[in-house]
Amino acid sequence: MERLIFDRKRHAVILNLNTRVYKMDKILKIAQTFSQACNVDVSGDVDCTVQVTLKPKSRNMRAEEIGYEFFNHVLAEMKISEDI
Amino acid sequence: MTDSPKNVQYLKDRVLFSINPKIYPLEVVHSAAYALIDKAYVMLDGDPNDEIIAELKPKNKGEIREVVTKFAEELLNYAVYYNQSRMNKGVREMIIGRVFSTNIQASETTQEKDEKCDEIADPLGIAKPWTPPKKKR
Repeated sequence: MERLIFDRKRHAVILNLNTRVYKMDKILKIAQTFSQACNVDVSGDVDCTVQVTLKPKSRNMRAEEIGYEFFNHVLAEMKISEDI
Repeated sequence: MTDSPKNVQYLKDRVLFSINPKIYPLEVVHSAAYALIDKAYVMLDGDPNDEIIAELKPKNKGEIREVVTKFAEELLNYAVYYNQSRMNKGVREMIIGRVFSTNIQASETTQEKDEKCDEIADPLGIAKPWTPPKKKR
């Protein structure tokens, strides 16, 4: 399954996040921070793969790049919460 | 691609890393990936009990090789650190436990000393002020 799908027509990006690798609470926390700049929709299976749809509020923002940044932010959040 | 390892798969503008979680646990993968987030976009997938997949997309297209090398290095670094810290965990906890217990005892002794100071008897009345009271005009 593609981890990032760019929907050119809607100018949105769909992310598939594996909840065995990324914790759900971290995904939601980052989704909340991104909601200032994007319309965010979280759906999918909490035990397997969660789908996050990001649609930038401004046309000037590159949706694809925001999608990749979302992954990096969730990763940073995961790392901070761990011991090492 | 000539000598790329089997667990590394180069695609057009990104690279897929297949990681054995028995060698590199998920925490190690998170830490190694975190070290790269200024140079690449990292997406993780897979099963932490079977196989973890890390997809790396460099922010600058020319840096794909550099990113792969750095990720492999960071995986190793963090794996060693993880194992070392796991081995030292008991000693570390013992030291911290000792530090706290020592502090508690020290504070108790100070309190006891203060109490003892307050309890000193004054049979000769030395502790009383000796200056005569001022006469009223």
